[in-house]
Amino acid sequence: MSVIKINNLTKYYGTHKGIEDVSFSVEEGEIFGFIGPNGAGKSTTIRTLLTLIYPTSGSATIFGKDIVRYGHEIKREIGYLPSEVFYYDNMRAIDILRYSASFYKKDCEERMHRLARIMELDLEKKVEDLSFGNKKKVGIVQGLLHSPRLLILDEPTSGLDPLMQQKFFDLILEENASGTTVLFSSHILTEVQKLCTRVGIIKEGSMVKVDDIRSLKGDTYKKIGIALAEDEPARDFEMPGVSNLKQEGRQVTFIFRGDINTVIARLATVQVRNLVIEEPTLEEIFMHYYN
Amino acid sequence: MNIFTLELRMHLRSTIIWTVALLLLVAGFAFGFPVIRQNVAAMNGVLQMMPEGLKKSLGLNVIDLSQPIGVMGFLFMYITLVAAVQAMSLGLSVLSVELRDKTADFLLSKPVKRITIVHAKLAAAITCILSTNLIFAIVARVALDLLSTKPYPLSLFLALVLSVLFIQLFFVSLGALVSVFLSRMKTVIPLALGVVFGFFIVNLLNESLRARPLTPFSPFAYFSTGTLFSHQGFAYLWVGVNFLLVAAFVTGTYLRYLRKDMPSV
Repeated sequence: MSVIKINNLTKYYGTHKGIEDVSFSVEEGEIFGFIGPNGAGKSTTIRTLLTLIYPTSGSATIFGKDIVRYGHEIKREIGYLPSEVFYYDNMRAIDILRYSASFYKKDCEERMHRLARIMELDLEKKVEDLSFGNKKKVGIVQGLLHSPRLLILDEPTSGLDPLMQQKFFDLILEENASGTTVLFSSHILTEVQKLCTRVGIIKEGSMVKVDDIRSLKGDTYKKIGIALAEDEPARDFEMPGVSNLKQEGRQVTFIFRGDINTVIARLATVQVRNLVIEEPTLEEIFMHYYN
Repeated sequence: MNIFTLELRMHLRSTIIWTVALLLLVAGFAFGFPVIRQNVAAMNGVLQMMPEGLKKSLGLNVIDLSQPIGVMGFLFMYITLVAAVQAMSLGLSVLSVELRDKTADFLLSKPVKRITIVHAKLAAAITCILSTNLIFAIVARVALDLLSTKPYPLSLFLALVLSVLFIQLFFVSLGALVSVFLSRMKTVIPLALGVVFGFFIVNLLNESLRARPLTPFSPFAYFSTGTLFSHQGFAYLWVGVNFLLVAAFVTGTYLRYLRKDMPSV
């Protein structure tokens, strides 16, 4: 079952395009990575899903319910963590969290304290006295305390030190193991690679690809590095399936997608000193879509 | 209910400050009136030298400064001014504060309808205003009773006190309406002062003109001291106009807020 289903969602801010014809779905129980550089439309998509802004056209459902019509009902089961969190300054962390909990019809007290312990958060401090990273921790606890069925994380790791990031990832994986679906937006591909099962790539407001992370990284793409024995222009390697072709002296690298035999046949015609064929990182695949 | 309670807590301090400001005006009246009473003859002399237009502007043509209710009526022009600034800044901030402090994302990602948010916030603002008015009315009544030697018309006192409330309702709803059309306000007080003084000046001008042609354009004119004293109570037409406008502002506020795109932080 699809937890999130987005159909041709379009959002214009006046005449300025936010997103256009975005469609994808997030299945129950998966961690879906939503990747693209800043300004590509990730936050616009997420803010539309949460009806912080309203779509210009198209539609989306969460748990099978229309986001605009049933927004308040849907949000009972959603935990949201934005990249920058802001709270009422004169309140203590615990006041914010209790206020947040008061919107859900369940007792969140015990879970709140457990999460705060894991994230090493001092609940008695006033929000205005918290550092950026500590505010973020309040955000994490706030997003998780009501045991949501869907977590929407928009660039969630900014401001967290690596140790805390790891704890946060462990928490997400733990939630996911108990059935929570996760939409994880990020421009940092290594973290998407660590967590996600499927990814959607967004570019200039439109989806360019939705794929299983293994098939994205898997056998269809190879990163090929060749050390040539003699001078050879790189354009000799321009053929269908080659992208990101780069040459530095006698060192040639490119990403190849297609039948590997065509590369081998081409290599047979030149003198090679060394050859490396490896799995490309998600980052390299990503750049492939952006070039 | 949780939003309502939080709003009340957030506005508690400013409500106390504004209430104290109004009470200081009443105290000024209580301590000032005996002095005025002793010098009524001299006061009347001064009044006679004033140009007619100025006297009308200040409502001094219809009120009797030898009576406590007269002096209080004179003071009400300034009381309503202070009260209007309180209401306007409250109205401007109650819905926009979430955008200024960037907490809108937090609140709107909670399972709550936008209409419920507006209900709660407006209810909190009105509660603040009602408390201010209640305390102010009680203290004003006590002060007036202590100083009065002759009975005064209760209808006039009620009209004076309620006019503060009605003017506040006008400004709180106008403030809310303006705030939902602005994308992000940095500060509230300068705008509140500007708008309120604008309407106040329209009223001063209106009172100095023969047929009061500008009455429709300022709530201060609906409840001007001159009008209240010459009617010994409200001019009901303008009370009605005031409430129609309040209803229109509130409706506009709801319609806009329900469809508004929250700017990202």
